[in-house]
Amino acid sequence: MAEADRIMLFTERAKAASAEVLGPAPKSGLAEEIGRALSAGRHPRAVAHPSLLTIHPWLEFASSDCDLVRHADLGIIAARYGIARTGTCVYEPSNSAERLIALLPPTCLILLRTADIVADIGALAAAFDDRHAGVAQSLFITGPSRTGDIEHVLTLGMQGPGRLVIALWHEDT
Amino acid sequence: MKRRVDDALGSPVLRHALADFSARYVKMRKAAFGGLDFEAIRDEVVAVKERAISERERLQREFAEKLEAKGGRVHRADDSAEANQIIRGILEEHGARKVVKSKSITSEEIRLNKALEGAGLEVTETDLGEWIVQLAGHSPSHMVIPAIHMDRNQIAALFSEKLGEEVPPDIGGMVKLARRHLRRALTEADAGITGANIAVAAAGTLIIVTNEGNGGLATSLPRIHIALVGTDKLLPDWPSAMSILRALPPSATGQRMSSYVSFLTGPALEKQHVILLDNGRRRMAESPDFRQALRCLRCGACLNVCPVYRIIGGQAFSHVYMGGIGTILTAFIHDRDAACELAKLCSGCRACATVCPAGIDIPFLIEKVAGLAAEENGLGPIEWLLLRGVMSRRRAYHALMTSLGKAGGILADKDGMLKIGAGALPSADFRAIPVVARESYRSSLSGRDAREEKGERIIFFTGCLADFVYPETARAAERLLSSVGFETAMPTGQGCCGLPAHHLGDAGTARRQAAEAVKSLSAEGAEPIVTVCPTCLHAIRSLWPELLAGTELESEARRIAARAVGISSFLIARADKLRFAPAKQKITYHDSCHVKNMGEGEELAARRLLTIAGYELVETGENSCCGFGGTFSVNQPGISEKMLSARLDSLSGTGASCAATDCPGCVLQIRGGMARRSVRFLARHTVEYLAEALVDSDD
Ligand code: SF4
Repeated sequence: MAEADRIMLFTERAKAASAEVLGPAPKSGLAEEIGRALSAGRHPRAVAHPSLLTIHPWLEFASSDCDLVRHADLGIIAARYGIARTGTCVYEPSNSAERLIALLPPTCLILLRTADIVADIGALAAAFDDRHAGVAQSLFITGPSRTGDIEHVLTLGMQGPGRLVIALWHEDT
Repeated sequence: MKRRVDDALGSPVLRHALADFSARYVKMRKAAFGGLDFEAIRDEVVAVKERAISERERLQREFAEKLEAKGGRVHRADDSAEANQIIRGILEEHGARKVVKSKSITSEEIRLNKALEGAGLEVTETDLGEWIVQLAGHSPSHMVIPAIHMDRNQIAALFSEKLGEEVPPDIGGMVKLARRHLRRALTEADAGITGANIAVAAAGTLIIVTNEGNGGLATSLPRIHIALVGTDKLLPDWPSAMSILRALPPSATGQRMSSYVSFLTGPALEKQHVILLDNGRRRMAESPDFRQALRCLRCGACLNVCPVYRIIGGQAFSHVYMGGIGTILTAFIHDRDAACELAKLCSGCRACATVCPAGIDIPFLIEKVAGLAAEENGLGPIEWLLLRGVMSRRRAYHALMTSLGKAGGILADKDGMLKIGAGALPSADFRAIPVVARESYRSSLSGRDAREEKGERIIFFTGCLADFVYPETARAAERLLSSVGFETAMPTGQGCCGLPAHHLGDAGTARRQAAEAVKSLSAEGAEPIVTVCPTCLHAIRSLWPELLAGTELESEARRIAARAVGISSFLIARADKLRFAPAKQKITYHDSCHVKNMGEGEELAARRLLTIAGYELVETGENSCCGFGGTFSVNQPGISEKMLSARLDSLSGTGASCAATDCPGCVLQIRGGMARRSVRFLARHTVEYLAEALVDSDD
């Protein structure tokens, strides 16, 4: 599957799982794209995975202090992979505090590089086999937290975020 | 069991919720598997799980080694008592008082909550559905949606009572309220207890699949994580784990992927303990028949399509595992006698086998469980009389049917239904019963020698109903076959196919009947064997080779299985030779479970034939089971009645005044039900409608 098809399929499937998908935008245009969608100012307590602040310096509004995650209203993480067929983001935190950035705040923003989108879950098996250590605490995220436990009515935000925004980006050409 | 079934039958909330969910699930599952080859996925799951079962001892060792190298601790428990003791010990050692749980059916298997609460610990289920049933003091009624038996009003009343505030029956509001309460419990807990959907031996990793995200929270917020994992969850490596992750969410909830899949390797915070639980799994692995049940992913797909479960839900099952697979697991994990009782709830429709992503032949194993009961406790008196006294002796059985046929005139009302008997057995009176025909199909053949006639020959396996009760079906089939150039031959040694006996757990009688039938058919050469009964077709195809495996008749049974074909499939391949005077009648079609779930397209062939014959075919919304299931409708009249009633409503709702089906059993059930409703609605075998519109070639 060509990259453009993977991006298209990923976008369609992630939206079907109730995620919002932004972009794809060039890395330099990402801040603007996200700013428009999230109106960052409305999330005064944003916590970002520490590594992101160096890769995307415009995330200066977010804290990298994982201890604040319990009180944050926006969690920002980067996905290591995307899975097109299921619209899934694969996040690889290295400890529980980093995992909680994706789970505790009511909104989760995931940055995903389009080149990292694979076609199907099977394509990850080999990557996982090579990198046992890296994947040890992985979290697959497909849409926001949901429940259908009362009368099978889909309700978002049961335990984790009720809103999931995925920002697709690619390197500037 | 009877009381629980009666309770369930008396709950319209439950029935409505289950019917609604089941109809939606079928569509969602189909969409989630869209674009994928389900059979290929299933084959992969079977291969992966079989390998894991064969290597289970090695995988347990490897998993423990890898996890302990990451700082986790692995314990082994042989049974529930040991597992409960280990978990209590761990909590005590770490001074834990408050425990949160993420949904784990394995923890229900060992009744962990009771054990922990008995030790004075505060336990909170964090999955919304589990929390609701915990607050209500109920047991879960569905593997994936535990509180499916309660509606929003009941849940609001429960929340109001237990949480001490007035809670309106607004689903969004109740979910928010639950989030607040559960977030507090998660934050304050000392320990999080989870199960695991998969344990990857090569990496020492647990994989937990949830939609709410509580699996991730219960393992990341409390300082101690305890995972209770059945040894059947171990897989060798990542590729095998990915194969399961591809099959599980579409099967469980009709999603392409669940919202959260958490991977855990070693402690997230202070401690991680994993208890590998055997609890009957080793015994299951050592049983050549039941080993396949260890492939189960606990996805619940088999429940969602089970027509009996749809009526009674999960609480009617005595132990945590419910539905068909529950019957099998209960036999090894909890209580064999209870499982033998549960086996009687199976109608034998085979819907579960068509959706099981692990390729488990659930109906066959349920019959094996019924067989264990028959072996240990003997057959019940009625079953004994019916099976051993009558049906296992072909000549005596046929003589009895002939005598009943002679008495038929006296016993029948004007519609050919039995006049007496209803008062004697009121619970079975939801459906009128036909009398045995005055002249059976086989007796109408005497004096005829088919071999003298022209044309190619087929062997006609009528089945008992078309032979003794509905000989008009057999005659219609004969006429159609003749018009496509085939002469029918019916071997006189033909008796019962054995499926009813096998379903009741009497494998001995079934084997004798299969052997007799194979001998009588093998004497007849290599012609196709055509049948008008899908139950017989299933017996010929699958049951006979299975029952006769290892005997001198095995290869003959396999040859015969390859020759067998349903009448509609046989005719559609020769439809160009059929000439019809267009019938122009509005008709609906009822999918017999054995036809539909055999997956050979017999029902599609029948629909095409009816259309070719000029019938105006109108479909019912959902094609549900009519509740016949042979002896099932006699053993479980309450459930059968509810199934029939729903089916009659949907058939009548089409506006047609008649229905075609490819199964004489369904004809009996639907016709009998309509007769009790005093509705003019005719149900007949497809061949009778076709024969009615047929223009004979010499006309
Ligand atoms: S038996 Fe098959 S369908 Fe039923 S729960 Fe197990 S894996 Fe799922």
